[in-house]
Amino acid sequence: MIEPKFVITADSVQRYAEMFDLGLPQGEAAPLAGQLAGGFGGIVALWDVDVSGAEPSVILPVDRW
Amino acid sequence: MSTLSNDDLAFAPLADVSLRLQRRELTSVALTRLMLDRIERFNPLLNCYITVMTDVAMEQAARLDRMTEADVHLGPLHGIPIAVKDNMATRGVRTTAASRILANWVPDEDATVVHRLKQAGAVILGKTNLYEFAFGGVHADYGETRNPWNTERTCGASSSGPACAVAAGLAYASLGTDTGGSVRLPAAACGIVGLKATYGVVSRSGVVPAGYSLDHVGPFARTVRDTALVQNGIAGPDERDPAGSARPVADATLALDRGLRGIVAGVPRVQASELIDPQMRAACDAAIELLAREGAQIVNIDLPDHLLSRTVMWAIAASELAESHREYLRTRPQDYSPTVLGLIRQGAFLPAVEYVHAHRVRQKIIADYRAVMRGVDVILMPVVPFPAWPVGAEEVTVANVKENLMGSLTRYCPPFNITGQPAISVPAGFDTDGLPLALQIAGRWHDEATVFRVAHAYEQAASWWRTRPSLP
Repeated sequence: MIEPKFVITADSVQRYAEMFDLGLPQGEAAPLAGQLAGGFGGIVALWDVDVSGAEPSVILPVDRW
Repeated sequence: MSTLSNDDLAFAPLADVSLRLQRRELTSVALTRLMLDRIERFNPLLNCYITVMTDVAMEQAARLDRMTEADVHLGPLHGIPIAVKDNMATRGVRTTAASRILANWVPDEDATVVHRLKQAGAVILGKTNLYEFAFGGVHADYGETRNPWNTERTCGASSSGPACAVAAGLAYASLGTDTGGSVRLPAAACGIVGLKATYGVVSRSGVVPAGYSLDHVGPFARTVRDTALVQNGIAGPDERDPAGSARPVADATLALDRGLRGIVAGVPRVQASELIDPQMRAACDAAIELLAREGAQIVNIDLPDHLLSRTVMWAIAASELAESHREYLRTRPQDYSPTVLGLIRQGAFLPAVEYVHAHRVRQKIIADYRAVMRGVDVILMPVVPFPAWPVGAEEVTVANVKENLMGSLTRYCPPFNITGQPAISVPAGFDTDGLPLALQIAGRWHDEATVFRVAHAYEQAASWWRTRPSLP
C-alpha cells in the first residue's frame, strides 16, 4: 500500500482543533504538533501491512472461536 | 495448624488463610484489622491506597464472621481482605480513577466485579492508586506508588496500587485493569502474579474505560492458586458488559496440579527489534529451561513483530480514550495531568481512517496468532524488557540503548490485548539489585485453565513466591 504522508504543523493542528471544537488553547499547538508527528510516524508503518481479507471488528468476536 | 506471626500471616497464601478461616482458627475481623493496621503503617511510605474503607471493611468482616458462626460459608474468598483499583465503581465510596476530574465521584452502584467479590464473601479493604484514568501517567494530586522492593522505584504502569498492596502484604489479593499490560507489568515489577483473562470473560461494567476494545479486568495475588481463586470469583457472563462473553467459565483451579506432561510451549524466535535487559532475558531463559525439565515440550515459533502490536494498541487506545473524554477535553483540560492530556489530544487528532485501519491490522495479527496457537498450548515470553524503573524516569537504558520509557515498556504485553488471549505474569527471580523479574505465559482463547496450570507448575518448581520484600 502507499503510505500516507502526514504534514503536521502547529498551524494545521490549531486549525484542526478549531474546526472540530477540541478546545486547544493558543500556544499548545506547537508541542502537540511535535507529539503528533512522533505518534503518526509509527502509524504510517501500519500501511505496510497487507490487510486483504481483514475486516475491522471493534468488539472482539471471542465467542466465535 | 501452627500459629503464625503477624508478618507471616500477612504474607500467607490466600488459600491457606481461607482454610484457617473456615476452620475458625482465625476470624475475618482479626485478619481485616491486621491488614488495616499494616495499611496505616506502610501506606504513607508506599502510597498504594487512595481510599481506605476502614469502617465498611470492619462491618463486612464482622458480618462474615457471624455467617461463619452460623455455618454459612460462601467459598474460598469468604472473609478474605481484598483491594480494588480506584477505577472500579464502589457504591457509596468515591471512585477517582486517580484523576482530578472524578475526584468527588461517589457511584450509586458497584461495578460487577466488586459486586461479585462481595457476593463471594470478600472484604473490600479500599481503593488503590493508579495512573490517571489508567492510562499514560501519574496525576500529581495522587502521586507515584512506591515499589515495596525498593521505594525509589515505581510499581510499573497503571495498576501500581493494587500490585503494591499485594506485594507489601497490605491485601491478600486485588483487582486491576489491563489495556496494554497494566495488570501484567505491575505484577512483574512487584514480584507477584497478575492475570489478564480472555477478553470479555471478566465484566468491565462499572469500570472507568480506557480503551473499550482493549480493556480487561484481572486479579493480582502472591501465588498462582490464589490468583485462580480470585479469577473464579469475578469471571463469567454479564449482560451489562456489551463486549462480555456469553460462555460459562470453567473452574480456573481445575488443572492446577496436572503438571506439564503433554504441554507444548512455544518460545518466540528473537525479533529484529528485540531489546531486553540481559538479566531479564536470562531469567526468562532459565524459566523456560526449568519448564522443559519439568516436562513441557518447548518449540520455537514465529510471531508478528511485537512493535506492530504496540503501534496498533496505541492507535486504538488513544482513539477510544479520546472519544470517552471528549466532553472533559473541551470543558476541563486544565484538570488533566500534562501526560494524559497529551495522549487524549493525540487520540482526538487521529483520523477515523487510521483507527479503522489499525483494527484491520489487528485482525491480521489475530489471524497470525491463531495459526501459531494451533500448534502450541501456551506461549512463553518476557512481560517487560527491564525491571522496575526509577520514580520520575521518562527514559530507560536497555542493553546500552536509551529508549522512551512508555514505548519500551509496552513491548511484550500489547500483543495479547490486541488478540484478547489470556496471559499471566509470574515471578521469575531477582536481578542483582534485588528487583523482581518475570515470565509471561499466554494461552488459547478461553483456556485460562492451561495458563494457570503451566504457571503453577513453574511457580512450584521455582518457588520465587516465598521471597518477600523487607519493609522498614
